[in-house]
Amino acid sequence: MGGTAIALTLFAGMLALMAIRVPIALAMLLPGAIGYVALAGWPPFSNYLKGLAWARLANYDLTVIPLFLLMGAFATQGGLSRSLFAAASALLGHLRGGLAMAAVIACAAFGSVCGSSVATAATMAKVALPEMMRHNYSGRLATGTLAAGGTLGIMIPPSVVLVIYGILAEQNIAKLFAAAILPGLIATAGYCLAIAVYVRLFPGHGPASERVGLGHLGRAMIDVWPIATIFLIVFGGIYGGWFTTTEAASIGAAATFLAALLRGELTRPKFFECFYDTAVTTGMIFMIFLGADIMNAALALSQFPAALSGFVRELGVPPVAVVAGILAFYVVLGCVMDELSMILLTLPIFLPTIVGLDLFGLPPDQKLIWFGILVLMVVQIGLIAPPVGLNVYVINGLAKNVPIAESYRGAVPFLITDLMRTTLLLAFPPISLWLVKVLVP
Amino acid sequence: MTFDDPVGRTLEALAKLLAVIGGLALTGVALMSLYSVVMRNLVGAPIQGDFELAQMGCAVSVAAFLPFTQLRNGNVFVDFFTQRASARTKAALDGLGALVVGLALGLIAWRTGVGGLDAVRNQETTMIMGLPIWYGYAVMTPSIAVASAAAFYGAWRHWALREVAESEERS
Repeated sequence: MGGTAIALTLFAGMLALMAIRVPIALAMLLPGAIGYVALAGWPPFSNYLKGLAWARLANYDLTVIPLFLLMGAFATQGGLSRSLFAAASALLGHLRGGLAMAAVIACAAFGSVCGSSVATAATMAKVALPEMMRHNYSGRLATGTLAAGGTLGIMIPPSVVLVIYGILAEQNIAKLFAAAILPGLIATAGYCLAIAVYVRLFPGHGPASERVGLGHLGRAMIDVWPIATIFLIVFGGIYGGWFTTTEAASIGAAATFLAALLRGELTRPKFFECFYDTAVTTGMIFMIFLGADIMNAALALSQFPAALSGFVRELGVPPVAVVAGILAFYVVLGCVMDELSMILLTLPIFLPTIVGLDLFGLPPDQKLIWFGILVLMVVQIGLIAPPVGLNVYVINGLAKNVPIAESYRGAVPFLITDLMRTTLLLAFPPISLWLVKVLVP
Repeated sequence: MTFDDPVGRTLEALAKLLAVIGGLALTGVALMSLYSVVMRNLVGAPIQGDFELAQMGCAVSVAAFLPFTQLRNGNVFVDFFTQRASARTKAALDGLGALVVGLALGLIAWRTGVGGLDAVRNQETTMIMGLPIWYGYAVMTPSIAVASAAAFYGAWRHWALREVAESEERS
């Protein structure tokens, strides 16, 4: 049996295990282990396992993941989302669909201290959902907005997905974050626009509320300064060259802890909840890492990634079409698979192909940064697209009496802007790469 | 989720303890980095080898987080293909999944333990601070072993409670 045949068998085994609810990490680990032993024998595999946990867990670049998660947990448990939404709705609430726009903007701002999409969606929903319902917003618009808004958590840096991409693609995380800023802002503007158009077409879904007084607006604005300060320190420090991403994550976590403490909402049980939340998510991510590591080690032994790269080059398809094809493949795969596992599993296979393509004459590292942003867009789409949009599930679970089909319908306007933006970023790499050149010369 | 048997309660207490230890280790890494950054930018004297401490702390905390993840069923899985299956079938499959997790983590714990003994024998240390690497292994190995035990316990629970899942579905 040739290497490619073995690789395909491993994939088939993985998909079969996934279909019967075996955790994704193990659905990758098991065929990977069998493939490794089949290709190289037991002694090398047993030797490889000895160092696996240390190699994966004691990695300086990876320390940012639990640290950013801890920072997000402090922000979530500390109730920072409440002041953000209060400020944004004081500003926009009087517009038709204004509370929904406020939720989107608050999500974007919360995304600047939180690197996870589900956490952003869920924490904002607890604040914004009751408020929107009280102002007679339709369940469709309210849940759709929050599900989509939550994805800004991984678009606006820090972003756990981008950190993972950066580690796999061996790219500078500070550069990846810089590349995500403009697309993140475009996404925020696009979502607000989608809401504006939607409430114009279907006015009943998002009625305007009363305008608030200037004093109230001022107080609400003052309340958000800690979050702005944290964002400025963390990213000012990274791009000012004062500290590394890991240090930035450390400082961000410490500062967010302080901000949460000063708000007086971080009680002792909530403090422990921060650790527990961080533990579950970190454990989940590293389990997938371990599984993907073993699967990818086996795939590397089969030399499948190199074979695929050569095959694609010889096809003679235009390079941008190849990239578009990979993205489309991700959207389809994302329908049945968790997005994080998807990129951990597939990137080591696809990256050699991407590096081998001539894309707008970009040098390899710029190509990989640009591709990273595109992958991020696709992950984001997967989080709100049917049949399994994780964010839609989470928000729908929090909203009583809103059928899941309504929530998916509510996500459609946002999905349309997602597709438009992804196409835009695919066609014009400078949108992603320009800020990288400015911030990280 | 509440655990009403002694094994479950013990594992839960152990997993929570480890999660808090991991969280404190992570907080330690954060404070250490903060101190190092301040010292570097103000006095030009960072902690030499601070990244090695961060690395070690990260290994310790992530491993310590694993048991809690297992106990909370924190692993991601695909339920797309089994949406129509009965609660009983799902519980049985989840039990099987957890069993596989337990076996794999057990294997990794065993090999990591052996790797740790190698690190002791070869006196492996970090580059700058000269910290013995086996310190990390000494925390990682038991943590992964507890995670494995938690997964086995989860497998048993899914299997034992599949009747309950079925009756809950009916009601």
